[in-house]
Amino acid sequence: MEFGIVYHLFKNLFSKPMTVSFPYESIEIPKGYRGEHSYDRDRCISCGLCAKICPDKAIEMIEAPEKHKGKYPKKYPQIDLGKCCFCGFCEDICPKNCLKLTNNFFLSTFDKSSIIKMPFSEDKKYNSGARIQYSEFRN
Amino acid sequence: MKINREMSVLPKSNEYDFYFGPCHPGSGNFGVKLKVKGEKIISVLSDPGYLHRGFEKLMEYRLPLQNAMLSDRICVLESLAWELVHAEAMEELMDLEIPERAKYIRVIMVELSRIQSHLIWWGVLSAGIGFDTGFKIAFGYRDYILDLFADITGGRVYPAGYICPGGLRRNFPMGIEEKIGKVLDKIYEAVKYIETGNPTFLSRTKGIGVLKLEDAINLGATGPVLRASGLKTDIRKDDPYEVYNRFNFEIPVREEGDIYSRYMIGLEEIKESVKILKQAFEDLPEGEVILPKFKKPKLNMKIKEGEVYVHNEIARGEGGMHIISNGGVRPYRVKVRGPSFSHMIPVLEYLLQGAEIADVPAIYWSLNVCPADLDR
Repeated sequence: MEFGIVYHLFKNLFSKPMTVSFPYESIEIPKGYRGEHSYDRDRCISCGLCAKICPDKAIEMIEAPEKHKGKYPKKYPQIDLGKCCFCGFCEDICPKNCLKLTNNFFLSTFDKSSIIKMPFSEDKKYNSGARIQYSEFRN
Repeated sequence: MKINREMSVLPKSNEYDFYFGPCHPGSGNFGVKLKVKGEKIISVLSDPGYLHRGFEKLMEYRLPLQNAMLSDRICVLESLAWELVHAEAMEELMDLEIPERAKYIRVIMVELSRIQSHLIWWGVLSAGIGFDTGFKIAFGYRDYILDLFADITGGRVYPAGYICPGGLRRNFPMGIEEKIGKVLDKIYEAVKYIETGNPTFLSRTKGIGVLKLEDAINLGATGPVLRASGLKTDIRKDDPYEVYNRFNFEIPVREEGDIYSRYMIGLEEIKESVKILKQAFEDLPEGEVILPKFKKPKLNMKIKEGEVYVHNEIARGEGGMHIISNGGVRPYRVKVRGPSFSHMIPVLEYLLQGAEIADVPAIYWSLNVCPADLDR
């Protein structure tokens, strides 16, 4: 038994650590990971199913602001990432595949207003396809 | 300088109150109020309630699919096992026969979940007796299984309704069998670490916290705790669910009932789970994993009127769910029976009576408890 310890000692001296040094490197994020949502408002038909199936009531259907009303007359989903549990039911139920979960897991933010994903904000950070990306953070 | 003996800070008696938890890093969100005399414990009072989230009530307001998501939060470390309990209960209420492949994948996922849960058990027990390396090794090896979960379910810890009423939300991804095989080889490495007969470890665990069989039955212990006291019982054999009756595996039993025997039961169960996984992969059939009408989430699926109780062998003991439906789209009443309730209140209070302070964390974690499924 004592020799076992010596064996492991030498083995561990020459083996790699179990962890990776985040944020300089990251483990591989698998395909189909349930991360931040991406939303395509042009394909949305405003059925509201995503808001109805959401177990945490994180999705709220809101009206478009005045300047967009001409093109988008109905209600569109606004996602509160603080409430979201990333179950992906909204993705499954969406009949037009306009709401999808991406593999962006890096959702830490210094700006609390960016937690709510608004469908009509001009600001890039609120729009579909994420705020601060992991790759941006690294550089 | 003269010292006034009467004003001395020393208490007149050596009896005092001692609180283990709820903010202790080693207790989880759970407290034990101890009255000690010197080093000996003379009275014990469990103090639960710091992690109550009211799942039973929340489930009455949600659809079965949403409840599948909620059920994996009953115990963080055993999310897949609790999802299976919920899904089976719902399927029994709705009279559903799920596809064969889904049954096999359910068994594979639940056994992987059992292995990672037992690794945590070993890790926290090591931390409880002051062996921090064990804690880190256990959590390191557990991460390999979490990586598999991320690959299969899309999330590392929370599968979010992966095992849902009607089958599974996703099929296995390509090449997962080889990945699982590699991880199982690594688990064997971890088991070698666990098997080391470190004399310090043995002296801290052998003959301490002895739970005799008669007391274990009277106090309501189930699962590995009961098996460590000498009763050969396992719901996977006694009342088989899914496809467990098709696999050959042993039920590890030990007579002593002390910390060491409970710890060895956990270790042997990891080996048995690996056996089950290998057999399951050998005869894993092809085909669909979910019933056609459950493929898209539905908002108006009615649950048949009725009442059902389903119990499963989850890593910590017997986990059960009693669901009553009055024919609506949501269940009328859900009752969750977690194994930790009887382990953390009657059994723990019984074992800590007369024990020493230094053994409190060791006895506490040897029961494989989870404050989350006690409070629910």
